Amino acid sequence: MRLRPLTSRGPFVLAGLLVGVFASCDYDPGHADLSFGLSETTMASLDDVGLASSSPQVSGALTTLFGTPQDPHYLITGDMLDEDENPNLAGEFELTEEQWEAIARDNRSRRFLRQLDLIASERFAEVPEPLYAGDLWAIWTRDFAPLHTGEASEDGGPATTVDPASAFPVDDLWVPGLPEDGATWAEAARLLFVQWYPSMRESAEMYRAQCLHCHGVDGGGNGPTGEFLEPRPRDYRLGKFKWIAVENGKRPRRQDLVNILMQGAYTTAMPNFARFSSGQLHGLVDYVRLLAMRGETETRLVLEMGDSDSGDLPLDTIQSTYSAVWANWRDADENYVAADVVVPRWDQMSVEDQVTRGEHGRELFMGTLANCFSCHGMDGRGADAPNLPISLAEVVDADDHEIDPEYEARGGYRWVELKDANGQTLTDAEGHAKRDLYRIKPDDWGNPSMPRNFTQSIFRGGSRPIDLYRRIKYGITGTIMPAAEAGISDGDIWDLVIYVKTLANSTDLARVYEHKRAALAELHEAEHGDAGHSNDHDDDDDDDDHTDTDTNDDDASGH
Amino acid sequence: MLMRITVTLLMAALLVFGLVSWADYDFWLMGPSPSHYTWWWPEEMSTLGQHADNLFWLIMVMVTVMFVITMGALTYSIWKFSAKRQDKAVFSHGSHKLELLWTAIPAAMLLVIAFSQMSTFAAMQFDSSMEDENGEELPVLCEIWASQFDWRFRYPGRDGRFGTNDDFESAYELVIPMRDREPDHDKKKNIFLLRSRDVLHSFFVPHLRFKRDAVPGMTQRIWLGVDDEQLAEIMADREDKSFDIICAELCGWGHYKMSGRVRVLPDAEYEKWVDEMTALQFGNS
Repeated sequence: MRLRPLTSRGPFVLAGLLVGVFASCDYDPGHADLSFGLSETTMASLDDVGLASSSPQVSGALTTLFGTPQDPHYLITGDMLDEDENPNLAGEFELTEEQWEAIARDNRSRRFLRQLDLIASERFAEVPEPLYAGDLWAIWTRDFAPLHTGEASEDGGPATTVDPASAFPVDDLWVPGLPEDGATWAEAARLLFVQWYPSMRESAEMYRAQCLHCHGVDGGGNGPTGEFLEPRPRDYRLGKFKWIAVENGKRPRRQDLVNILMQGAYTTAMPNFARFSSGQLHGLVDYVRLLAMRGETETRLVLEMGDSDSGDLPLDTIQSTYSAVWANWRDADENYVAADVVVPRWDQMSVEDQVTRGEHGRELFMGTLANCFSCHGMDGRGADAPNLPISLAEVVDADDHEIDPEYEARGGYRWVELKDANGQTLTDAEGHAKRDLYRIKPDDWGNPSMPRNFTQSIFRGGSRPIDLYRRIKYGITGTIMPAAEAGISDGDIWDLVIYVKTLANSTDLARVYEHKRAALAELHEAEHGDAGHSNDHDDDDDDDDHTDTDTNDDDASGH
Repeated sequence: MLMRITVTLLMAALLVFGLVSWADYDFWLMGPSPSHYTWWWPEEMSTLGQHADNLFWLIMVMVTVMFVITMGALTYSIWKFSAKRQDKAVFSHGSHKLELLWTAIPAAMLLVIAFSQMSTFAAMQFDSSMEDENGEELPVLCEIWASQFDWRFRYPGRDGRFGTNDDFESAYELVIPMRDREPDHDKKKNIFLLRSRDVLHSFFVPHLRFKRDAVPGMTQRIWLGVDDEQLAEIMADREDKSFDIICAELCGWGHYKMSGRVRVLPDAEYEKWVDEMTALQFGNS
């Protein structure tokens, strides 16, 4: 047999492979066929009332109100015009002056850095297309054509290349933030980029690139990556967000959502997006708000439909539902709480004060009024505690075939061994431990509730004292963490915060122990006089034991 | 003949493609990039940066020379000795001299690399480089936490101790002092603890020529020093006041999202920043 080093096919196969590799670099999966859908809950409840065939009515109404993923927008209704508010220009009206300044600063220093560099050096023709700013690019190529092409623009702008130092035709063209006394073309070009706030369409494009793979097309937390994550991505469609600075159940402020984008939800798969400019983040928030409102409207429309006899959706019902949903979001800023609360500076507090206040916090923690321990456990380890806090779960029948395998896979069920009064495990006739199956209560999104383990020092909604204060005072929206009872004063809440932070801060905890140990030693000495002098060492050991049993916190300190 | 020409053309095409994409950043990125981005190393601004760069160039030159020689020999052999179908195979038992030669040359090269990097490696990695004159450990500036998928920086706050209530965290942005009050160039050091919450990550700051794996369960002491003259030079024509932190270890599906920034401040401004962060920590916003 003759050896043949390469068949004559070889080079062509190689060439084909190379072409394939390079061609796929330009692969664009496209998004033209993306469309908003209806949630499973919607379909189920429509089915329940025998209106499954009417689902196109709901999706049609939603498309009219909120557009499509390619062209998202709010329907402008009469009452919006009355209030002189155009939600499609969300940023224009809802941002404070400082926020606008921050956006302009960011555009100048980060987002359009390269474009602005080239504009400053008057190399207009070289300005490259920016990412996630298609609308801006359209304005640039159309209205500013005379500046970089030397040809007449379609809108009948100047026919020849303009002098960058000549006056910008304010009457024909518009650029945000133009000074009243006019500007030059170069100045207008700079302002166009500096002042640019992304349109809803641009933000939707960015959402598709950055968020969709977890949060899904319609914000249901059901993107392709979502199902592999623990905890699951947020489902916006309930309109509920956890890490907010408003009262329980209220809609978040724009700033709350921006904060989450800036900080991420630590230890979840939600990273921070601080690498984007503040304009882009505000734009993303606009789009997330649209998705949340769309989801809420969807749920309400289905309820309305079920309530009506005909199963029809009259126009005024759609309108009133839409307005009602909008009102909640519009008023979010007014629900901002704890703006004037004074945070105790316990970095400047004496250890004695810290111990006293923390001790009071612990009493509240273990008490029945605040009732923290019933979920977070005696040692503050929450869902990680060896003994499942009972109020977290309910007994289910293990043989019941309705155990949800998906919920089980996410840690929704736990076996708990039965114990007698002495703490001995009960056994059945065959010597097996008796145990019950508990189902951990789900939160509003259907995820098992996992109370925070304080000893890990991880707080997803922020670890600052004010963040914890808000969590305790107003609870966490959508979860079983309730708002504080009326009987708990602000001072009490701060004491709780101090206690919780002490559990989280290892050095603080050690200092508290040291302090208490010293106090106990003093007490011990006062009681026993000078008698203990000969065996100081033993005394110390005794004190250690006292401290530990006294506080019941030896587990926490071990961490 | 057809095959030889095709292969040659393909290789030439690859070379041109590589050169073009190297020269034109946008060719690959297919999008905008800040003007200071480059395919090559960015400017260095670390107190050890010059040493790192020297080592890089030493190795670069050595491997380039070897690459050109070996690839040249390979290409020549392919061309010259490409099998003609009528040829019979030739059997050879090799050459003892040649074997010795091509073992000794790489060994010598490796030795050169090994000896030339020793002092830099020691300055970068050894514990003694993170101690003061009395052998005491220098205080830690902040903890660098890597997790899927972000960087988080935990500062001990005003009291300089971790695990106390004035600790504060900074997501995304690592702020470090320039140590401009320290006259000694070699003592401009900031000590960090590098830790990971979940899987392997790698803390990479190209401008500081620093890269180190973050390993779960392991706390590593590392140090970074900023050369203030170099920094001033870089800042002179740069509007962006911070530098990239990159995760250089594929850490999961969101690896590409895992970015951060380093901002270097003069000592006085750094202290102001710490005050601001402390105020924010106890603020009510």
